[in-house]
Amino acid sequence: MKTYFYIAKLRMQTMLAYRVEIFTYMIMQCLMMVAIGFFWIAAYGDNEVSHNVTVDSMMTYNVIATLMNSMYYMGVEDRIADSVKSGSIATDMIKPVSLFGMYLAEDIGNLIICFFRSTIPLLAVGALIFGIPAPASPKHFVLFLSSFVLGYGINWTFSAIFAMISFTAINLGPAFSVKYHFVNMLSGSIIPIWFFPQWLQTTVNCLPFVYMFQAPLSIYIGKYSINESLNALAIQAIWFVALTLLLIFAQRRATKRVLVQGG
Amino acid sequence: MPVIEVKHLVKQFKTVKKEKGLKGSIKGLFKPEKKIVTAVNDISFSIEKGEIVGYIGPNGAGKSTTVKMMSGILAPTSGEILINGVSPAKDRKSVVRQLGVVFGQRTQLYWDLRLGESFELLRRIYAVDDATFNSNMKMMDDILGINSIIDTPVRQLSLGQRMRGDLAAAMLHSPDVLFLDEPTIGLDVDAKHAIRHFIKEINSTRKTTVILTTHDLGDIQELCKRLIIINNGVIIEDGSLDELVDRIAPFRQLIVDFYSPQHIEHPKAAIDKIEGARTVYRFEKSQITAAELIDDIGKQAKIKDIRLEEASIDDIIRIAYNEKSEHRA
Amino acid sequence: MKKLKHYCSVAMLSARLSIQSCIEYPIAFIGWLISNPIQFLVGFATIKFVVMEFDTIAGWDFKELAFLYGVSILSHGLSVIFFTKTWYMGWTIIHGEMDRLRLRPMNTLFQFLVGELNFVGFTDLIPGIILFVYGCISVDFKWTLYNTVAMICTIIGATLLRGAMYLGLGSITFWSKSPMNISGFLQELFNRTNMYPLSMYPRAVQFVFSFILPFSWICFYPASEFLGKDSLIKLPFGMAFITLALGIVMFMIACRIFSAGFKQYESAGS
Repeated sequence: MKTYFYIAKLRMQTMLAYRVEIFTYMIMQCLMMVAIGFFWIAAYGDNEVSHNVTVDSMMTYNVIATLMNSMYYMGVEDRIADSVKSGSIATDMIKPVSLFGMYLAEDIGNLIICFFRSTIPLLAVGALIFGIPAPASPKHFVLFLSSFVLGYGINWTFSAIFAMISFTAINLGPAFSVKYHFVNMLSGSIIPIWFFPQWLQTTVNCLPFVYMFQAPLSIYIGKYSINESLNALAIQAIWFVALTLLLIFAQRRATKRVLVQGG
Repeated sequence: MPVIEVKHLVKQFKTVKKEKGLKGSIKGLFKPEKKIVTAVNDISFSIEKGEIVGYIGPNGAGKSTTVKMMSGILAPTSGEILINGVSPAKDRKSVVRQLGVVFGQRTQLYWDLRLGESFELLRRIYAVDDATFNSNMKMMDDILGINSIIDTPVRQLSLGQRMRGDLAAAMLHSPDVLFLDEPTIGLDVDAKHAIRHFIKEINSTRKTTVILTTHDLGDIQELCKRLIIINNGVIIEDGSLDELVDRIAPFRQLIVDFYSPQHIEHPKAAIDKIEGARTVYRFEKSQITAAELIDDIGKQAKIKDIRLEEASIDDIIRIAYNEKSEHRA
Repeated sequence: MKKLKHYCSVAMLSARLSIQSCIEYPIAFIGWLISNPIQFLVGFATIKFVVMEFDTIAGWDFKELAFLYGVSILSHGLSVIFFTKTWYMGWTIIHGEMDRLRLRPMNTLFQFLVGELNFVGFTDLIPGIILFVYGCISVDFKWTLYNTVAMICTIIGATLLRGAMYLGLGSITFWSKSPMNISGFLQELFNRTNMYPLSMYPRAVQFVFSFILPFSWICFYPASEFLGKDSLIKLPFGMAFITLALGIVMFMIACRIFSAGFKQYESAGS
């Protein structure tokens, strides 16, 4: 466990080394949030409510979604892709620390930095322009936190599994890009899927993406009642367990392959 | 007029001082501390046309930094460099036309394409006319056997082949001066031989001035008529290899095998060690010749076999590196 | 004149070589051919869905929004072909790959941008062209002489504007020496701010996106003139020429930043 703490800390230090980028990124994030926020105001126009969501709730949705987006950085993808490309995957696999544990530690280090880096500016700018992005109720907030953790887990395991496919297909640049845009679109991180046509909503609800962003966000803004929230949490948990099992399975297979082929 | 003139060259790098731990990182985010490192500290030398100069020194001594400044990649902090009378800092384009540069650790060839495509591109970049291009290509084929690899994609070439490709690429525009940064690094014996042959050949037929940095003693021994040794950013030796040997290690060893163990002393030679029937003498060239010494010893006991050893370059360079740095410290 | 010919011949050969390099990896190319268009179809679909819900955004209907998006994505595709290298400047600088540019007797920026054209960028141009044509047809764009010239100026100006910002931002790595790649985010910001009409923002934000970060010149102002829409700045004609002029000026500024950065470039290695 100490090793993983150390890895997380190391990652945080590297993240902090580049100040120009950190400040530029912060500004761009705020701009993005402001742009999307005003888009919603313009889109709502004279409508006060759409799909049971008020403009104000939509603003909160946007601010929190931007914040979540910055914390959901999945470094595991690049790490696996790099390690396959450079051929170090074979040696990485037989290191005494668990490979995925290491990557997770790094990403959590990342998350902590992102939290401290982005929360204050985003919440401040968001509150100033769009009003304070408060949760629907303290209960909703607690449920949101658990939902956020599960959402992170789903996103992380999904990314890891996706990257594991690189054991069979070496050039994954395009695939990562497709995945990125699909997650962006189908998770509700920018546009909630309740705006989609019914048939698409039904399909998307069967995929894990909505449980990365939209589920926690719906809980936060109170679109879900407490019961609905618990329901969403249960589905999230199922997805998380399923994806974790799939990841373990994929790793076993990959390890076997590496051992057999000798890298 | 010398081809290369370097006067009081200084290069300093600014680096951010990283503090230890997470606290240090956060502090660094708001208040980075700058530190100045001097890589090259006031060096001067001049090189005449047609010389082959070995520019050597331990890792991190400032070799590559100097080469990069001479080839116009880096701008000097102060001091002046003149290549054929022109400063690369002022008129980069006209200076680099006269230069060929090869970095042993990094290729300048198009990785995914056949070698010939890279030559074609360079030919256009340097606007080489057809006659020159063809005669250069022919020469490169004669010395390096380029035509046998010209249609192979660069990524499929062995390191030795790739280095041959890089050397040929550097010579396409018939430069006056060739900078080679560790050209034989990681190569096998055959490939090293080919590269050394190439350097000698272009130096003798074209009078190309060659400056090479290397850690390979074979390169130094076979190629370099002159050595410039740099350490900690300062030139510590500049002269021919022979001069260096005479000054740093003016002694030789004579190894004599007798028929039985002997203890024969000589006033002008010291006994290094005696192992059974073998005695190792150490003497200075200026004191006595090897022939006289053998003669004198042979008068006292019958000699079965002899061997004469010079101090190895390895020793000399090590002594040169250490001597001056101790001196400085 | 001779110099121009020299640069052209190098540019032509470089273009051919980058196409050849790209063909060496056909699977990756096909991958991009599928993935890049998807990105924009997804973006296009989101516009559609939102408009289905709310009818118009700041008085722009779906056809007009499609036109706006088409112009924006076309310039995006072009900028990807010419400026992809600037996204990885951090990597290039850290690995000392900039050395090579200084060894050759040609302009360094020319070598940097033209030396390795991104043929893969054409996969971004395909959705750009499709959406542009679709947008033009749906608003019934009149290809009069003035409109044609203005449209060409817009596209060139917009491409230069995008490129200038990538290049300027990328050049910061000469000083910061960071391998972090924030251009992906910048791309998204460009596309996001140009997807919807600027007039939907409060005046202060409109001001920022017009004069401080001139994102809206990429396509909003010219497009609103073509469509006769209201905007913060009102001119009887010639928005497209402002875009072009701004693109050229910004690009020149970015070139200055690049050269200034290159001056204090510290190559990698000992």
